Amino acid sequence: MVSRRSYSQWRNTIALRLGLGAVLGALAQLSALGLLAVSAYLVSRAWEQPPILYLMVAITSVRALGIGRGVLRYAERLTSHDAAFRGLERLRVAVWRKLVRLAPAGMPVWRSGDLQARLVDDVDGTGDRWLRGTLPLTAAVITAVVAVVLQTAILPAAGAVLALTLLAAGLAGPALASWSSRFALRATAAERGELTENVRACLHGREELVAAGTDAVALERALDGDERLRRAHARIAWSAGLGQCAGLLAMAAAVAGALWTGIPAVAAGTLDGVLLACLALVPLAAFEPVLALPAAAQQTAAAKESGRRLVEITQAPDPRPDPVEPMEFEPNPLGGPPYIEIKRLSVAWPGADRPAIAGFDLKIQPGERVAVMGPSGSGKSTLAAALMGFLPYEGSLRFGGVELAEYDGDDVRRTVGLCSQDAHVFDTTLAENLRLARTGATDDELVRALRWAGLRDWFDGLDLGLATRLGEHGRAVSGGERGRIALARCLIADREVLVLDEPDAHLDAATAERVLRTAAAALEGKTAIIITHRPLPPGVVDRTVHLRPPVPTPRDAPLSSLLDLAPRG
Amino acid sequence: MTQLAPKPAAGAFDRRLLHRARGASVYIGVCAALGLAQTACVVAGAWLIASLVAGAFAGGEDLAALGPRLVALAAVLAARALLASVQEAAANRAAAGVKSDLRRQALARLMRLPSGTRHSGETANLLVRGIDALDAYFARYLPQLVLAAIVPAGVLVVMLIAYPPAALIVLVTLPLIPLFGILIGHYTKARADRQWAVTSRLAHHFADLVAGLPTLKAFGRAAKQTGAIEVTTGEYRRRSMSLLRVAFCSALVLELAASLSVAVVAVTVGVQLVDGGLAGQAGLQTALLVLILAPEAYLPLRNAGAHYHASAEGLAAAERVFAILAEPTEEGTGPAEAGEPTDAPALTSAPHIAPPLRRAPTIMFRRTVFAYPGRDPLPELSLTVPAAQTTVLTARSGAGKSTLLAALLGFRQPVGGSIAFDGTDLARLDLEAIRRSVSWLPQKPVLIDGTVADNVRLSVPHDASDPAVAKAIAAAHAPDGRRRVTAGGAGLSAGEAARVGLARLLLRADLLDTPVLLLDEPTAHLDTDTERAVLESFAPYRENRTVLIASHRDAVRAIADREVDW
Repeated sequence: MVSRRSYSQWRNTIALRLGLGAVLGALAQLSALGLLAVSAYLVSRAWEQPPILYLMVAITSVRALGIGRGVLRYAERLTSHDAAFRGLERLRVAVWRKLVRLAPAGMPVWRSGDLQARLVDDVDGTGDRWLRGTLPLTAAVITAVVAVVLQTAILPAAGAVLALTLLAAGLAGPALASWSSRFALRATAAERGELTENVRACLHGREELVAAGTDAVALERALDGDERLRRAHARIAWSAGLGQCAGLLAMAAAVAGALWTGIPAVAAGTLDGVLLACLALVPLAAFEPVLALPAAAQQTAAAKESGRRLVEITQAPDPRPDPVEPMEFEPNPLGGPPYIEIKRLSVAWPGADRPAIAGFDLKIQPGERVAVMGPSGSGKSTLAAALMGFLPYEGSLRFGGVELAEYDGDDVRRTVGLCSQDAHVFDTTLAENLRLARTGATDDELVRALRWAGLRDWFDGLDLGLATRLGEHGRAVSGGERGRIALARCLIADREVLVLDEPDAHLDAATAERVLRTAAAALEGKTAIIITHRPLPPGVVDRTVHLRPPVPTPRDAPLSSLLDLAPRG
Repeated sequence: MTQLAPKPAAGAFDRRLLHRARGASVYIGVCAALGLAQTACVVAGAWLIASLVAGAFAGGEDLAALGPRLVALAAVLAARALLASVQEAAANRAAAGVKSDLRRQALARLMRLPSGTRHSGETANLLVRGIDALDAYFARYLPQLVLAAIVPAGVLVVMLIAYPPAALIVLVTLPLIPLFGILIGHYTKARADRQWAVTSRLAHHFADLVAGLPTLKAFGRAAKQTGAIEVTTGEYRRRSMSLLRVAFCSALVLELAASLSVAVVAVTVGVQLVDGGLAGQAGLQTALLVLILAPEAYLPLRNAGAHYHASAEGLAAAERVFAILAEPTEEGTGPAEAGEPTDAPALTSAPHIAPPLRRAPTIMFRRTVFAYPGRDPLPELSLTVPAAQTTVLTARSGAGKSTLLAALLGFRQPVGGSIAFDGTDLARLDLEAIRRSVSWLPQKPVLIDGTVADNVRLSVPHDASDPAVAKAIAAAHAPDGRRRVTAGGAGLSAGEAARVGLARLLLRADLLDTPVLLLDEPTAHLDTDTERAVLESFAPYRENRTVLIASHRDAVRAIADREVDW
């Protein structure tokens, strides 16, 4: 954990680096401005054929400025990119910390492709905002101010013209560009998410679609989304061009205006003719960074959209905030599992209009194994989430006589474990997948847990043993294996209370019975709550309680998708 | 964020990108025409400014005499503004079309490549986000590349006529830029490719952690992952920065060459003016003309360099898309695409259509062995599925029941033994005909955006009538046909999704009268009551069909004519 003080120091370092980048960028642009202005003066003065010594200062500065621009620009790029990368590091961690508090109940049902796009795109988008939005803007403003000062010093009227045209370009260009693209961008983000999801569905269900001969139909549907995305992109196209056009038109006005004010001034003798070339060329250099502003503004607009979605995440309310002064978690002073007492329990998911469980009562003695049976939609998974401290509740849910709400969520989960049928299998080795339950577990313990979970044959068939990589979202394992890996993980975690959510979902009767019996033996002395929608083999549990849906017509709520964000497909 | 070394010239790879895209060559032509017009504007503008300054300063002319030229200058500069705007709009439009084209081809191809070898989420991301990143390439880099070929040539010709020594300076420095670009690009190429791989791994690592966040939290490990994320992204930054330090060198060379040669031109013409080599009003005008034109010669290259950094990500994505397009297609998925890329999705218009099986077949597995890489092969299997009967496979989880069903459709090939329909080896049968004779309900049926009815209709190639769909939905006890479903299944519970899949199977069985039904765990997510109701309405569909079900549920086993375990 980074302490608050070093955290703010860290942030300051990033701000400092970004500031340095902006200054270096402005100096690079000013070198270009200086190069053009001094060159123009040099040529004009040389035409008057003074002794060459009079020109040495100009000649030397021209050369220095020529080198300066390239070197300064290089330094600026390195500084600003380093700062952006550091900022992104911080942002990623901050977003992750927030997600940790939200998961799983506080997250709206984001489809995982969309969620993935949010995290990676939106965070990167913020980095782009600094590099391609804020920094070019700062450099452009500094350059423009210096150019106007210079032009005013040569001829005030020309300075006024340059100021006006720069202002027009700086405001109208980006405004035009972002104004028309804003809505289209919003549309694109949705189309992209939807298209990603459709493409993924097509790829995932490819075999089924090909077998049915409807791959073309599904493909067409996905490509409809592509067509919408294409149109949205084409809509954005015009605005970028308009912004560019406004900038270049302003530059035309600036150059023509400089000569329009300069030529009479030279004729009237109020301006030294030597400086007329400067007057004409300064606008060209001053406009170079300003012309890049529409692109910068578009980048900023896109980043704002990302920022809005990130804010949506960071401002989402904590579904089950930890108590301000949590109770010390000591539900059973004698050790072993606590006495659990549930009275008139009512639990609702955030955003749901009615509770998924209402008026549920249950008392569990320490070390008892209880089956909670009920049809789909009766709130079985909701009960599991409430026991895990993922959800707020009404009524009473006491562990060792103390309300669960009085405890810190992490403390609750040190006593209660959850074995969900859809538990995530990480894209890493089998050993790492198991060891996340308990870091210090030895290889022997891992293998023993696998045996208890009924995976002996499967494990013996693995060439690489514990080092076997389980593919994307555990793709290399079947549904039944995934459930049993989750069970093994829970056995390794060795919690006093274990909630098993449909541990037999993908298993044949014989395997299910074997697994349940070994698990029951392994859980001797611990409290176990086994959630199921069909009767368990005799002897596995001490008793069975029934859970009824809170409303007469059950309609399966997508609870499993809340508990597990892995794609179904 | 992925900023990489500029590649100075369009190589073979870019040509591939352009060949693939419909209308891309027209677009390049438009770019070239606009580029020529812009060059003319640049030269005319420079000449007018030089002549105006020289006229006022050296010639002592006043606004009355110079007025027409000043108006002309304003007009030329305005025209340049309009041309740039038109070019940018055209470029963005063309880019949208080209990207869409590439995406369609890749997706159509992917639908005919064997599943299981690639990560579907990552691939979906590549096709949408990755290809979208080509925007910068098409809309910004490519037009500048065209300008980079036209503008310097035009500018050089004018400078050569006006004042050859200045042209010589530009001519010497200009080739240095691509030369250094190639050298540095060559040096960073391999690392740039790895960079994309690292970025993509990082993205996947993140997504994996987020997907598993509920699991991590259940074990109290979520907060501890923060440190791991810090380490990963820190590593990412260090790798990227060491690459950028070299990659930005080519930009440094470009900037230095551009600004130094302007400085050298300024000093050279300055000295010539002092020495009297260039004299009078015409001399000053020439000096100013070359001074204004010199930076213009480098500007498109500088712009192209800047935009190439941004387009590198898109190009890396395109490279991976081309790798997909080059993969050989799976057997039985139609001919490899030819001709117009747009008709790629029209897979159903095969000229010859072998007739589907007419009556329920006997299916035989003879000493069949399946294997997955990295695992022990599954045990040898011999099995006869009798015609017009219901066989339930009750073998233990992981014994290869799903593999068996997929093999009947030609999606898995046994490494040993054979599979036969009515005594004819599957390998000798037309795979498409077999697939048209089979209704298959996989374990996790696909769900696409649309209504439940739309999803049910996915089982038949032609449009099914509303009553037929309604009948299938009712029989499968699936949710209301009007309910919205999104791709990936948000809005449906696992049990509901399973029943949508079942409705799909029933519709296909009804309309196509397929003699074979394959069901993989059809009732795994259903409670006992629903299961019973569903199996009841399934009964008439089993008559006179060869039905093969993988399931351990007692209710399913109860309807079996035959039960097979191994």
